[in-house]
Amino acid sequence: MKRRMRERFAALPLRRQLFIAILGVCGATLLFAIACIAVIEAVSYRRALRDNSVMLADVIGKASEAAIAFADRTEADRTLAAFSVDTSVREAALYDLGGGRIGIWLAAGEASRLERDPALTGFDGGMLFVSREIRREGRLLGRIALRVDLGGLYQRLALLTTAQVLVLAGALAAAIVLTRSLQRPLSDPIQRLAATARHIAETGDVGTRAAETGGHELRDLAYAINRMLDRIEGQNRTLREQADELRRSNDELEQFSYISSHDLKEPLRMVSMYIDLLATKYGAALPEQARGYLATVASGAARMHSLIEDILAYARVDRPRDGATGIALEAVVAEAVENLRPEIERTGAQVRVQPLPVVRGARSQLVQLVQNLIGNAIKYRRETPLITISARREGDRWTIAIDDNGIGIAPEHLDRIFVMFQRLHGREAYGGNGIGLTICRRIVERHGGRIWVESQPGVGSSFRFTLPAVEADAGAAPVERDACPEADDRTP
Amino acid sequence: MELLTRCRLSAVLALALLACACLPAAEASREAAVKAAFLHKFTLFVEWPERAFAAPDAPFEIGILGEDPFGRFLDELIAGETVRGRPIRLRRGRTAAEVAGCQVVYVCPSVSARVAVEMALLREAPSLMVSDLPRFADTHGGIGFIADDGRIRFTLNASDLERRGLKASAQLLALAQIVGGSDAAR
Repeated sequence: MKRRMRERFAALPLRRQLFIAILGVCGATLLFAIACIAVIEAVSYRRALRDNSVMLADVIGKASEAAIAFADRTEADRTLAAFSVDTSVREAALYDLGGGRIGIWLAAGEASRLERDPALTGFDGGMLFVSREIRREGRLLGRIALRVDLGGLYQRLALLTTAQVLVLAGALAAAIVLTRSLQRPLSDPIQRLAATARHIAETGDVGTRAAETGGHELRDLAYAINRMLDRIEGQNRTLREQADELRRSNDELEQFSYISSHDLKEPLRMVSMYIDLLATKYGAALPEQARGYLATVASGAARMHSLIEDILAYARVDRPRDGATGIALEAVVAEAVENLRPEIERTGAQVRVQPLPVVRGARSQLVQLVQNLIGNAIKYRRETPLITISARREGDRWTIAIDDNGIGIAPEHLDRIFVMFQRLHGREAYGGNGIGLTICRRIVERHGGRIWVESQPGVGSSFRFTLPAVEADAGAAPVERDACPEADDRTP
Repeated sequence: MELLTRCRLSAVLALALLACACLPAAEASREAAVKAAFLHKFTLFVEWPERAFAAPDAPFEIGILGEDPFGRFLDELIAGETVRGRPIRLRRGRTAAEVAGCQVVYVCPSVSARVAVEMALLREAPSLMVSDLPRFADTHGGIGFIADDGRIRFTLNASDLERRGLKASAQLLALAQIVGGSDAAR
């Protein structure tokens, strides 16, 4: 119960909390003070009444000494009549040594309750009883007793309590008014700061700044937030500039590599052409060795040509356009397999295709990606290649796996193979320029995914890459499908 | 048989007579007790001058002049009591000379015949004279007991007390019936 109240309190706005806290403290303090005062008043007034009554009894008792000593009833009654001046004394009596009542005085309308000496002074049943010895020269002569009504006491206490309750009410009212204005300088700056922070969080407007007003700590807070915002703004600016720079540099690089590849191909074509001419026209006239040299030059030129082609292909991998259509991977795989038909038939390779999803991307690039990977799987074989292509959904991406039973890759090389021109084996063993996987990585990264390989030498490899998924519901991009619908479990 | 009855009768008669004689005696005894108490209480409401005492530490003496009617009452009353620090003593005497120097002198009824003579001897004494002889205070001064409707009251000769240097408290004066004015007549 207490915990729930504390939770509710903690959930209140700051203004309300301050209000409740201040009022609570005020109210508690006031109540405590009033209660203490009331108790002290009651106690002290009772004591005062008692002391006064005792003194009165002693004074009148003194005047009654002779009356008691000589058992003179008339005189005893006469001296007791002096109590008529005190409105709270309702009855007074004098007793001789034997306890017999010598004198009596009763206020108007009172019935006697002091037939016998009460013997003790004290409060009993709404009345104060006083009983005092009467002595002369130290010798006990008799006793005097009073009965005092407490009505006056209660009346006074009631008056006091009423006054105090009014004071309490007034003080609380004043406290409420004061609290309203007191908590303002405390809660206003915090609320403003909170509002600013919320605005920045919701709109991302890092140009706003918090007002550095209010108490010491609040100022510190606002200052810190503003400096953070400064920093963020600066970082954003730097990032933007860097991005612009990168984009520019990338564009230049692409343009450069594209152009230079074309420019490179031109002289190469000349070389190939003339080597060919040389071989055809004058080949017969050349000695064996010279013909061999020509062949070497020709193959070198051809290799260079294929290298340039690969570099071009790499440079041509652009970022897929935003809002690109959804591509059916099954169709992509079908096209790649078709392109690799000669190799597949030659090696007797089997390509098993499990259900594949629709992804967002550029079709030609995806075909090249799949084709490169399947091609590698066939190339780096140790027995009849068996290739399985599968897909698994993880959140908003698909993880595509192309598994083979090839020669595998040693763990220390797993990262190297994606780097440009990194070949793990000589060109004589397996063909290729060492650029295929680099192109694969570039394509996957352009699609916002990542590519990696898991492998066991002597067993096989599993090349995996992630691609963004496309929701196959209404409003999604239309799916581009191939003309060949058969795509699973195909054996050439 | 007749003798026995007669003896019994006389025995009963004798007892009855005895009882009758005792009644007033019982009454008298209660009165004596009250008077004895009053006698003692007078010492609380009267102040004696220094010259009434032989020495600062001399005892306070109550003299009984004549045949003591109080029996043991007064002795028991004053046993261990003091008057302003002075222990109270009783002195019994037949003549004024024997009780001279007592601060209180009670004149017993038995002195009635020669009271004037004895009072004359004690005229100058700073003593409180108390008696229940009729008109005692009027005639000789001091305090006189009077019976009033079964209650014991007293008369007080204020000028006599004043003359002797005794100060009676206002409360005592208020209770008493003030009498006298001149000296005791011979």
